[in-house]
Formats: sequence, structure tokens, C-alpha cells
Amino acid sequence: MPAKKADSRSEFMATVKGDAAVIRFHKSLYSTDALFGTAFVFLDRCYVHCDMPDNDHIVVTLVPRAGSKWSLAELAGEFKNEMVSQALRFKLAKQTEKLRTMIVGRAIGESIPPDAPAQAPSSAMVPDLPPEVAKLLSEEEESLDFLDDPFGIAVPWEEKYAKEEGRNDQQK
Amino acid sequence: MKTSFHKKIYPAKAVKVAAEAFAEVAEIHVARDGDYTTVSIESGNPDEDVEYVGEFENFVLGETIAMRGLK
Repeated sequence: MPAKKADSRSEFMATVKGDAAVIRFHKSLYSTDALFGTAFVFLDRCYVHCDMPDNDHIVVTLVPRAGSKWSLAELAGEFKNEMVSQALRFKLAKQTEKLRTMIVGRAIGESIPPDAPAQAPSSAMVPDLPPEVAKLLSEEEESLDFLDDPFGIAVPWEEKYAKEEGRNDQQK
Repeated sequence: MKTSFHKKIYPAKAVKVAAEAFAEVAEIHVARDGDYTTVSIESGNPDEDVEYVGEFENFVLGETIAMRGLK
């Protein structure tokens, strides 16, 4: 039986060339998002350079940073694993996109109280607060008068201390 | 020392932003060469050029990812 010719689409090779690890794969294997996601993870470990020598292949060159504890073989292996991980991540994100949107939409919808007024809030109400709190605040605002000074904070400094000095003089 | 960026992978704007950022620490020359944007980096110290080129490549990659808006 003749040996089956390797399909170039299944290519995913990692080789060590000089002081760099070179990873070559067919671009139909992994999306650009997966490639960039993986490359981003490796930015702190090595210098990453991507190239497209022909229309079908991507070549990634990894050069370890000075003093790196990672060997070239380790970097290449980790990069390949991360590619698989990122590809799965993007696949799952795409699969669950509608569901996640629905969950968030429902959560926002349920956070609105059923008896909330449909019309726009009045200028007295604070829109970001729950309606009960806003109602309390508006009631308090109605009862407040700017001339009221229950804590005596509007008394001028001279008046306040003149009175105290007068009392002190009387006590003496 | 030279490096090149394929235009289908790296947008020219990302290379331009990196060149502007590195212009303070090295002499940068950017040129178009077919499908590639070629960048020449001279830091003044040939021993450090490898590191400068590597950092430049990472910077361009980071800019490219930021411009794409990774999900």
C-alpha cells in the first residue's frame, strides 16, 4: 500500500534554527485571532515575529529574551499548546456568544423593578438610584429649606466666637 | 539591522506608531518593499541592535493586537 502523501493543510511544524524557534503552519489550521492571542501570551518571554512566506502558510519566529530560562524546544512546544488553547477559546466564545448575550440581556431586564414608571424620571429624581431611594431623597428635598440651619453651621465665625467670649467674660 | 513586517499581518499604522515610539532611542528608517514594510534600526551600539529589533517587533505586534481589538 503506498504511503499517504501528507496534506500541506495538516502541516504544523516547529524547528530550531540557530538561536530561534521557528513554527510553521497552514493558515487554514488556526485563525488569525488564535495566532495573535498566542503571540500576545509570549511577548514577555521572547521576541515574536510573524511572517507569511506564501499565501497559505504562517511562520512564527521566537527568539528568547536575554537571560530567559526557557529553551527553544520548550518555547516551541508551549507555543503549539497555546495555539490549541486559543483556538478552542475562540471556538467556544463564538459558540456561546448568543447565549451570553441573552443571559446579560435577561439580567439587565430583571434588574429593572416591575412597578418602575415607564416615563422618563422627573428632574427632581436621580436616575441612577433605585426608585425608593430617589423618592426618599425627593421628599427630603421638599421638606428642606435653605434658610434652615439646625446645626448652626451658617453662623459667622465672628458672631459664634464673640458670643463665647461674652459668656467667658460674664463667668469671670 | 533590518526587520520586515508583512502587510497582511501587520498594518502599516502599527509599524508607524512603533517607529515613532522608538525614534527617541534609535535611528529608525521605514520603507515599503512589495508586501513588506521594512524597518532599519540603528541604536548606535551594534551589540544591542538585536534586542532593539526584538523589542520593536514585539511593540508592533502589541499595536497590531490593540488595533484589532482582541476579543
